[in-house]
Amino acid sequence: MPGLQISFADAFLLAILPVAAIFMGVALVLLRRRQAALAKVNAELARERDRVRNALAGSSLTIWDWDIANDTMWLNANWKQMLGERPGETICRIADLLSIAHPDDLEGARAAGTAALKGTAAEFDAEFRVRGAKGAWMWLRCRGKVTARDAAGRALRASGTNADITARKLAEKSLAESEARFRALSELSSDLYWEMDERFQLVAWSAPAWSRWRDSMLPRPELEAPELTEADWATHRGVLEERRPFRDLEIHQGPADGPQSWLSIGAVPVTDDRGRFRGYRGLARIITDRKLAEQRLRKSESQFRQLVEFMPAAIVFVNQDQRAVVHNKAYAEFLGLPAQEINGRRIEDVVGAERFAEFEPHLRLALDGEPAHYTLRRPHPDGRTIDLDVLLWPLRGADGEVEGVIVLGIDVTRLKEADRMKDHFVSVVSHELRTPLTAMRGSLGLLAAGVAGELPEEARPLVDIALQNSDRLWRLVDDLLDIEKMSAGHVEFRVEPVDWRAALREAVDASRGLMQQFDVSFELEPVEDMRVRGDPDRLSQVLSNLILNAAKFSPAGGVVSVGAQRLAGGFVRTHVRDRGPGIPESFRARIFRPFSQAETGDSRSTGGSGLGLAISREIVTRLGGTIGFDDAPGGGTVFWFDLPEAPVAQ
Amino acid sequence: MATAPFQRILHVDDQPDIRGIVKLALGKIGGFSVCSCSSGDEALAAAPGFDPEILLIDMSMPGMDGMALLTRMREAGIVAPAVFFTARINPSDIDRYRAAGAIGTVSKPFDPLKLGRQIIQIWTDHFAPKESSR
Repeated sequence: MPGLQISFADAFLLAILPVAAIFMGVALVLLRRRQAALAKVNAELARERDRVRNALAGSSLTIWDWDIANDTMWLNANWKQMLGERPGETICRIADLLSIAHPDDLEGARAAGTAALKGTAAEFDAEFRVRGAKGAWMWLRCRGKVTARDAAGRALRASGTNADITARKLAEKSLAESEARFRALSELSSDLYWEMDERFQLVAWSAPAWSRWRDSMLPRPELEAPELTEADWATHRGVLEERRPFRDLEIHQGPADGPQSWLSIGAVPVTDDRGRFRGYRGLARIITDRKLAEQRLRKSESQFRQLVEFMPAAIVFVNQDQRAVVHNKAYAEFLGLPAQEINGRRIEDVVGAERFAEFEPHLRLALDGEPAHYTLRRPHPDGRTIDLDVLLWPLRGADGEVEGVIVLGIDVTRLKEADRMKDHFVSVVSHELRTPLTAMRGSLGLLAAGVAGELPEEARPLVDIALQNSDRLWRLVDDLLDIEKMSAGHVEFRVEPVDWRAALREAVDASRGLMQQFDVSFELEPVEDMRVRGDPDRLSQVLSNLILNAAKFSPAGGVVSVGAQRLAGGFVRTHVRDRGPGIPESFRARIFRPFSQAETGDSRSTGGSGLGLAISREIVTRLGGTIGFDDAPGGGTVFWFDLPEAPVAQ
Repeated sequence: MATAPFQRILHVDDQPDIRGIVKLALGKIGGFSVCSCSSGDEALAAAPGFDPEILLIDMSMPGMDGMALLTRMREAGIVAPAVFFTARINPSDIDRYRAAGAIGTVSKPFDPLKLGRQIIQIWTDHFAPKESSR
């Protein structure tokens, strides 16, 4: 087939054309596909990059990459933002970064970095402070890793992240401070802090306070359950079962005869974040001292209450509202009322208007701050008639104001009875003694006067002796009754102005009989015209006692001087002076006591009743004067008494 | 005792010793006419016949005491002033006796030699105080 002469080459070409076309087509298809895949990958990559960028932009995390060999540090835009500058990538040297780090943290950061670079640490993780753009320190956590090393193992490249942990650091610091504060509080406080788990087991406590408690030999917290009364425990268990807070729960520990201790406990329930009960947390305060003081106070109060209760005197405390606040058994018995009809009620309602009218003036006086006193006689509910001494004493508070009045009613019935008996006895004895004395003294007087005829020579001195001694007995009976009545306050004085010059003259004249008896003479000194206030009879008794005394103690032929002069202050001093031996030191203190002279064994005491000075003092004192004695200049003794002067009559 | 303002004295005391002494003191020494009685009843019986000018009555007597006797005397029309003998020395008692009608008191014991003068003094103090020396 010449005409169709096709060369081999052509034929080959023709033959492979389709194949080539196919190949090319396939190649084209493959290329297209590859291009599409590449585009897809690229898009994917871009999406990924966007995601990372967005994530980084949204986070505060800084990414860094350090080319160690060239000392070039790259940090993403977050870094500047973190420092407070305008965002933008940073390229710097490591030294630039170290320059803004806190000097105190440098060493730690370097050590961590060196370890990571050398490979001794798998990664770098350090927290340190850097100075922000505004100069404030901020905390960073820097984490990273060596990503390339050379054949020798030297680090070529490292990358990682920086995180701002300032907020966390502040929170940690504040927590640490709060813990320190709590620790200090619990260490210093005398209250004990404790925690209990949900099974009521003690799991934590503030050790110092517990140990202090332990040191004082008191029971430990691990010890047995609180000693509560059944009732208190039942109440408390109810509180615990309902998981309620409680406070002021007082528990007692310790044996009855051993060291006692009390705690006052308060607690709140602890719940976890899901509201489940996890136990209690609370404080315990040692109140042993307070409890012991309370106990002592209660005991002493009870003792005083019993003391008051069983006092034989009626006692009632009346406050400013005139109400009976406290009273005792004797008071209730005296009124014949049960306690509940007295307590807190007004005294007027308790005792009735009639009795109150008698009581009120004294009560008012006492409520105004003046102690008052009166006596009364009235029937007792038990049928007796009783005499009461009523004393009212104002009771003042700490501010000095009268808070009320203590009224004390003392039953003096027996005393009054004894007094009446004594008076009766004295009256009977006085009559019984005086009557025979009158007969005796009368008979002797008549005998001596010669009524029965002239006495024989030998009988005369004997009758005189009998007469003198019956006179003495007479005086003794008079003086005895006098001193009795005076000391009982039963003698009334008639106080009037007494012409003193005349009184002294009379007294001296009346004592003339003593001149012979004691071999003395009397001298009345010149006395101005003056009057004293007193009872003339009683004052003549005083003068006669002092003159008799002076005569008895004068030496033979001695002179007794009597005189008076005005003193400053409206008083008159009267004196009686002897020339005797003076008064022995040992006797001076008791010279005015009844019968004191007889105790000295002085034979001259036989001359009087032994009551003269005692009576004289009683009289002078009652008349508002004073009596005493001094050593006289030149020997002897001066007895004196001072009395108020009365104005001289016109 | 020519100056005595009275002569007849009625004395009442239950004690015979005292009666004897008073009779001697006022009769033999004082020169008065004395009628001694041992009780109130006896005195009441004797008084109308004796017609006393002054009564001396002991305060303390069994049965009718001095005060009661004085009352009865007055009821019986005996008006002579009375002086009480008493062993008591309280001024308030003396006031009480005065109030009962006595012109004074003589306290026991007394000095028999001075008794007459003492009673005359009481009389004059009572009836003519201005003329008295005291």
